[in-house]
Amino acid sequence: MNSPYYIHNENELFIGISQGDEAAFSTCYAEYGRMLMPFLIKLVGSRDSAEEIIQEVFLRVWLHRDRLAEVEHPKSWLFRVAANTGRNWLKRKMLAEQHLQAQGQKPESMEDGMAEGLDLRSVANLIQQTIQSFPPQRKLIYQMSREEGLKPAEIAARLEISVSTVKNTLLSAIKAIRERIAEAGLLGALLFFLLKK
Amino acid sequence: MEQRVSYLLEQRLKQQLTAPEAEELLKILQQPEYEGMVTGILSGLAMAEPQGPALDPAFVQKNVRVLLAVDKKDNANRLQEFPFKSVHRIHFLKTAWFRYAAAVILLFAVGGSLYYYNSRHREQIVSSGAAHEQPDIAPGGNIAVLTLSDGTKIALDSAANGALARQGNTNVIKRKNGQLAYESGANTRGGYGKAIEIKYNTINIPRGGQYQVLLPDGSKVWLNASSSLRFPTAFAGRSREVEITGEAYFEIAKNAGMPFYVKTNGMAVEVLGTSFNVNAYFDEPSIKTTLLEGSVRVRKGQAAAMLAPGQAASLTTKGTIEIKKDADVDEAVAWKNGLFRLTSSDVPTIMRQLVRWYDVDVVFEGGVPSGHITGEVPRNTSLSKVLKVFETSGVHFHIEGKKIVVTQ
Repeated sequence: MNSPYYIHNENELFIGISQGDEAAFSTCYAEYGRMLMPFLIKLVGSRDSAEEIIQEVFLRVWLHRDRLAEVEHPKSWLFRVAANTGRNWLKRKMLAEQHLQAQGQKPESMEDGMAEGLDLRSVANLIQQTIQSFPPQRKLIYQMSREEGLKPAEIAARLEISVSTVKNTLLSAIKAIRERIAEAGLLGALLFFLLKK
Repeated sequence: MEQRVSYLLEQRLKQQLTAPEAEELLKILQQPEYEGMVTGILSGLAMAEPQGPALDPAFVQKNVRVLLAVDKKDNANRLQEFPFKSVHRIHFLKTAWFRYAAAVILLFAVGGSLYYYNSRHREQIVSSGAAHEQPDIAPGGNIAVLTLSDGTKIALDSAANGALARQGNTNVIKRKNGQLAYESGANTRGGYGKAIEIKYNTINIPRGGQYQVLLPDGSKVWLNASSSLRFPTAFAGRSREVEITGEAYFEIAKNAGMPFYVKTNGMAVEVLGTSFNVNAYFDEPSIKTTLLEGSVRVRKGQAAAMLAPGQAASLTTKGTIEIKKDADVDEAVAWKNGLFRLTSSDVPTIMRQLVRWYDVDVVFEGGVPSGHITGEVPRNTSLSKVLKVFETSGVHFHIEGKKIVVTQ
């Protein structure tokens, strides 16, 4: 993919994502997805599940982007996020296997996946709901950033407010969204604790 | 301990876990106190694994686009463009509490032509043709995840019947019919001075799920697929308030002194004691409230409207409320009665319902077919059979993996 980012500068990549840079996110996805895929396939036993875990990992990354600039060691942080997500999947998968065995069915007959996979649509619904509940200025700033792809400086110029106000508003918006998702229990335990240095 | 966990996880990666070891590992995975340890070990094992071949750029691009649409308004609305990856489900328990009419008359009308089949004829259509060669997809079932106020999650499809948890002074019970009930403990009427502890619980219904809940005030809520309900485990104060996403049908216990509010996406429905349905799916063009009995007031910002039985209010994206005087009440609540009921529905509207119930994606090949379909099909029918029935309308479908492909 054409991208100005290189993996050997992980911190720069994370700072890019923390500022909402979609190209940085895409590069990060490709590079870390590649590193994680063989491990996840072994862990959960199928490529499809491994791909879904990677989606969930990067959804978590995206929803924590406001904090990524603080992460000292991006690679180990991301691997912990992946390990934590993989652990949840493994637990559900082994539970399902155990259940099927108890019913006298062979685990091989079980289709890949589990009762609670990643439901992006529910997450998207909840995020929209949260954005709709924002006070007008926060909502406007968030939508200018996400819908129109404007940078904080551009938003500040249009609204005639300071750049730091825009940045702070975006940070609190992401935090509010993340908290709402955690509260609804959509992504399981979020990885806030992982961010502590 | 750490060495043991390490050993078990390594065996798992090598696929050499014996049955007793698997049982041991599962027990460890289920204990929250080992979560940090397991995560740490897995993270180390992941680091030690060599990286795989570069991912297909098209695959990365597609997945990234889907993820980045998660907080974009316009994109989340465009269904076909975002083939959200579906998850195969295992239904641990299929206690059907939906009762639907056994005899179903199907009536399909497309482009002015009418077809009539009695149920016997339908059987013939359903059993003939390509249904055998196609991979089939089972309908949804009673699946939900309950999140308690402390974050504990309980999968309701696999939870045993009986008391599940205690929230403040309220017992959370899964009844024999699969219904989830909130019952106040006997000693909650402690009189004045004894503060009632209020906790919030959330029920999330995934795609392919549905569930019924009995709230502490005796109100009943039916939740459709891809929906959620957030509610207090005890109602106190001047009003009863719950929040939903997706679609829900309510039968509210009368209590004039304590109005009931249903909130969704900035809109509120105020209720005094009544039965009504709210369809607030994000991918539907409007939030539709249909009243069966009693009276409700729908409010969003400055706009407000009072509904009489048989009427429906649609909150449009522009923020206006449109009232339909002779709404098709049966259509609005058909899902709760175990039916897909279509009254001159266009194909995309029907497909959105199938996506939610069968947890599939939809692709239109050669454009979106025009025309409208009318009829009824039980929701507990497998997908290929439902599609077979819809095909009598002249639109063609086939199943590819977890995708419905619509052709003209």
